[in-house]
Amino acid sequence: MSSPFSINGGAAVAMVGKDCVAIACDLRLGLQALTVSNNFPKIFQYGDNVFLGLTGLATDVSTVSDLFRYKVNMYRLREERHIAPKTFANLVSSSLYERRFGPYFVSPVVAGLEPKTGAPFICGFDSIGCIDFAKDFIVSGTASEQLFGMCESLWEPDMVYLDAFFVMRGCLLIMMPEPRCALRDHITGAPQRRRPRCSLRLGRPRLHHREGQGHKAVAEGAAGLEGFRSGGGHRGSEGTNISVMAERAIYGVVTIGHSETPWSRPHQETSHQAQAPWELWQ
Amino acid sequence: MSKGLWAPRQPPSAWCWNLAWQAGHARAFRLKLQVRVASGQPELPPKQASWTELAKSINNHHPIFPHAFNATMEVLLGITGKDFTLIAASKAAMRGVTILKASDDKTRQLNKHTLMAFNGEAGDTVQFAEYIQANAQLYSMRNDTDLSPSALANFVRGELASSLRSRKPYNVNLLLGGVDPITHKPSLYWLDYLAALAPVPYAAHGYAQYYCLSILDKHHHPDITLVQGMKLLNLCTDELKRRLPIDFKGMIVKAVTKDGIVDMEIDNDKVVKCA
Amino acid sequence: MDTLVAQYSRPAYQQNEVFSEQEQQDLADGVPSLSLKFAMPPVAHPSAWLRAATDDRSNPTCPIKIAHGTTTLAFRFDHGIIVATDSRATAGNWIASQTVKKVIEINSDLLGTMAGGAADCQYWLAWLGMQCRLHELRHKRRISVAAASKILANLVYQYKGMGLSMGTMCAGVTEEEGAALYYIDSDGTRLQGNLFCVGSGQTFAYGVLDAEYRQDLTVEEALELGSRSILAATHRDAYSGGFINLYHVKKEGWVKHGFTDTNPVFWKTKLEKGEFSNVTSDFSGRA
Repeated sequence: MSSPFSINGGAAVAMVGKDCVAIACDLRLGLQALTVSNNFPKIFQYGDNVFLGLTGLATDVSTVSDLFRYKVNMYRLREERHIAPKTFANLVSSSLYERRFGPYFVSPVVAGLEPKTGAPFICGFDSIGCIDFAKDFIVSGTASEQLFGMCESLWEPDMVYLDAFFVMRGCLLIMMPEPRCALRDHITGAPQRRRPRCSLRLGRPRLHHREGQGHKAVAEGAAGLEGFRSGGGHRGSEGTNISVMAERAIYGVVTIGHSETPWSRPHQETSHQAQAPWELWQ
Repeated sequence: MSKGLWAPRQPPSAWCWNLAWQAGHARAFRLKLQVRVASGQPELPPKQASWTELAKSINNHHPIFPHAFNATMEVLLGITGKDFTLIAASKAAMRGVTILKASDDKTRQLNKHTLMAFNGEAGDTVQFAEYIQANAQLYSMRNDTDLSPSALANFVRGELASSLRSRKPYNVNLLLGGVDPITHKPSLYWLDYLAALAPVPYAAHGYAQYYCLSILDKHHHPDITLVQGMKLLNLCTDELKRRLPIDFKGMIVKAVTKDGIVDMEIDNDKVVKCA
Repeated sequence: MDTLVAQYSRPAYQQNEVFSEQEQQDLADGVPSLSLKFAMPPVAHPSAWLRAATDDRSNPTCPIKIAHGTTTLAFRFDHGIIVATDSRATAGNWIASQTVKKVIEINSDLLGTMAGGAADCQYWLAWLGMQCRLHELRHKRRISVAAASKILANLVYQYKGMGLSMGTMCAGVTEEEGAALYYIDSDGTRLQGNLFCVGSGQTFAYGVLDAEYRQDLTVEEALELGSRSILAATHRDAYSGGFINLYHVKKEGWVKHGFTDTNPVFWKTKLEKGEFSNVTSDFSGRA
């Protein structure tokens, strides 16, 4: 209970769909049972298509996210390009192992799309940098058992982004006794881009906000994307098995890739082997 | 730059520090010249004993444990409103079961628009607060401009976070309230001794959190005036007088507004009866 | 006297019963003898053993996680007593249930609340209901709240130090006492009072309740205040949540005022009254 990993509470989940990945977290900052803040995000963006979810001790969530912001900025200055998720994963791994004997108390999750192929990439880590590559989903934080249950039962291969989105939503509902999330019509990515990219945020409902509007916004933003199915997929069932550590606070990001663009290859098998760090820095 | 240092706008008493402060600012403003993305080799054991020790110290100093007495019993409150941030701190300086002083001021002014309140282990609190205060003032002198409350909050967080993994971490909980010198937007930051930072509309530290947060949840509104803010604060202190088993000797209240920091009058002699 | 009456008023077919006279007497008696009714673990210090096995604060890996973590409140006012609770049961970090009934209807005008060990509270408040009924049968009148609470206090005091964990309130309106409210906990404390909050969320409920509590609240105001205080606790305390269980105890007996999901109530309170400004509907990003 008073392990550094569970003092502040929090959970994150990432999953792979067809040409898309989704990552989500809660927003609670707690002190054991006390809720201190309902606005403590645990997902950070490090480039075009790279997201990092950090659960664990809140101070280390901030420290580590700041550290990677610094490192990724330096990378971008030197390389003059965005960092790729796989590269970033190796950076996370080696940076955490640098603290092998005094670790940061965090459990990171990386989700992103490979810049060249558009292939989805997710992975998780332990607090000293062991990478867990996965083709399906990664869970972390104080509600990880519950998230495992939801993901194991609802995840299936090649989910279209909305399916993935609904599974994700279901996963987040499971962390909360009362479902309090709705789609938010926040869409980034210009339509004329060669690589259409949508970033949806799961958030608490705004004033005068209805879920339907969120759906509509998603539909508009994603118009033209193949495989779009309105309202289909797995709606998260309202669970009763909940971690009390993740309540009344929710936030998520879904990144979507386009399946018809030239960079997309027919479901390419992604490498599931760790890449030696030095390969990346040549 | 050098002009900023040697020709400050403030009177000599405010900038004439000893060499220790110079060392302090070197620590705070050192430049990171090296890009060290990943060395590939684990760092040697840190100066602190071991990470299990750290884990243990995190557990042992957690506010639920009774020996973190000052951190739990000293009251800190913060409320933001339309154009102000109120910071209040209890006046009792405690050591064990003794009240050493009944008019203690647990706040330090960092610059014209930022005020920091602190509680925690005796010694650490004032040392850390004044270290931050000196660095904030040094920055203002050197650059002829004040750091914004959010910049200061992140600076404080960084200092506290690096202290957490040192041999002897500061055991200090903080509230940092301010008004942005440019936008005039009020802000409040909650930091605990683990250096977890959260921007909040209202906050408390210690056991006061358990009583006051629900009151503030109900009665706070972002657009309240200073007068309404004081009423809200009184609601909180009344409840603390009613339910906390110790006498915290009343509160010192300060308001940060766009014009600076002002002391607020509060009736500390009011008797509150239990229902 | 009861035995004597029972002996002669019993029908013939009940003459050879499984329980002996003495056993029946024991069952009907207020306080059961300790070691006969409950199996004890075969160790030297049963209470220490139990504590080692169940105290998750001192030993987070304890094998048995007793369900505790609650917010319950009750307060007296001019028009009777308001009793309100949440409905969450937790075991460690696990929410075991969101639909626990933490108000026990001891009889048509006595209510008890549960906080602490769920099993302890459920069992002993049911048992208290039985004692109250027996009191009625014996004395041909309703038991007073003072007497009922004293029976419970005496009972838990007998078990003091053996690991019972309960914090309960007894509320009722009787002819002789008027509206009466008692707090009883497993240490043996028994207090009469106007206003009590019990459980892990008690402080949050006290905060809201104390600020606006008056003797001359109207019934509507009192019901709203009770429910708002529980809502406050469910928002800040991770161990409280689920539904708001609301009762009003009057001279004519208690009236139930719903078992209401906190979620819609929370959003209604936030959106319509502008409270909970801590929860923003837009996302602020990093500081």
